[in-house]
Amino acid sequence: MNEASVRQLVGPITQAFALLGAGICMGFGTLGPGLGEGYAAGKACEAISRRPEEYSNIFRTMLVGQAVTESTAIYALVVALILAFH
Amino acid sequence: MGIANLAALLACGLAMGLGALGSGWGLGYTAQGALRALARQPGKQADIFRNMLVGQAITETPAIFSLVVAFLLYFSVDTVLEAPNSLAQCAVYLAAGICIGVGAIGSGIGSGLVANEALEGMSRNPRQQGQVVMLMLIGQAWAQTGGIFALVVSLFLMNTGGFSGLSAAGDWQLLGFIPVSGGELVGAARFAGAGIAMGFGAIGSSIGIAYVGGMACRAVASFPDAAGKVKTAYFIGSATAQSPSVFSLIIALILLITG
Repeated sequence: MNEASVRQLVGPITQAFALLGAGICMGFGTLGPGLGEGYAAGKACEAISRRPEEYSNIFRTMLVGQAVTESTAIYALVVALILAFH
Repeated sequence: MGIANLAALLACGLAMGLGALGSGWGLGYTAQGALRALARQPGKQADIFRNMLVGQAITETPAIFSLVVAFLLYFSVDTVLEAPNSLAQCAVYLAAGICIGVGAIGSGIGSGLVANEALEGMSRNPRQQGQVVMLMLIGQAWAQTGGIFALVVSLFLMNTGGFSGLSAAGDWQLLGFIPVSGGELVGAARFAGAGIAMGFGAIGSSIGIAYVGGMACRAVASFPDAAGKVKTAYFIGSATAQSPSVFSLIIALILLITG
């Protein structure tokens, strides 16, 4: 394998690793947020059933908590998009 | 028999092996819920048994998706003789197997979680049985979405056919005998990335959604007066917990389509 062919492959190899990285980033990046948002909503259901009069308060807190949890999935999405269109 | 055929056989094993993991756990967990319900309400044996079977039938589906893809992979072994040593073809098979195998784990575990809570709730408050069964079916169906996304990406991958046309013009020999061109390397990474993104991306959301479904079943069974409010929180909370797997699906489709 001569130097010219190595130089020819640098571009495709970089792109290949960027694409593989995008997949790994998005795959593992959504594990945590998915579990976390589900846990928050599950506990909110439990809390609402115990104290239905605090419904609006619990519901608002659940949504804010889920939005903050979602941010990590959005970081993964942004990085995956950057890598996919590298 | 080229290296793509070996990859198809390996992917077949991975798809079914990993796919059976989640469903197996979920089926056992459903049965555990039924046993606890029976201990609490021995008189409701017929209802509990019937609902256990319904819950287990739905928990089984991710394993059946895996089985379908495993068969497709197994029977494709003899049909890819065009480019038996294509790296992209190897990536297609391995990615399809890993995508459905790993993607089925979350849905299998999740369906079991919902059924377990529903059966226990049913025994705690037999008068709410109809509503709890309805919530169980909705929760289990919702927990399947991750597995269905993985199945879609997996079948999409199986139908791309790899980059078989490009493999002849290899610029470089990988391991001494696999001809690789730059375009094929990029294609292989694209397919592998799509499979990994959707496979692992489905786990978290499916289990998360199922946890909400299980808690909603428990809440409605224990405190039927708050059922309406609990259902609102359940539907909106589950929809939000679904979004990470939708992001994964978007990235997987972008990786597949832009190639």
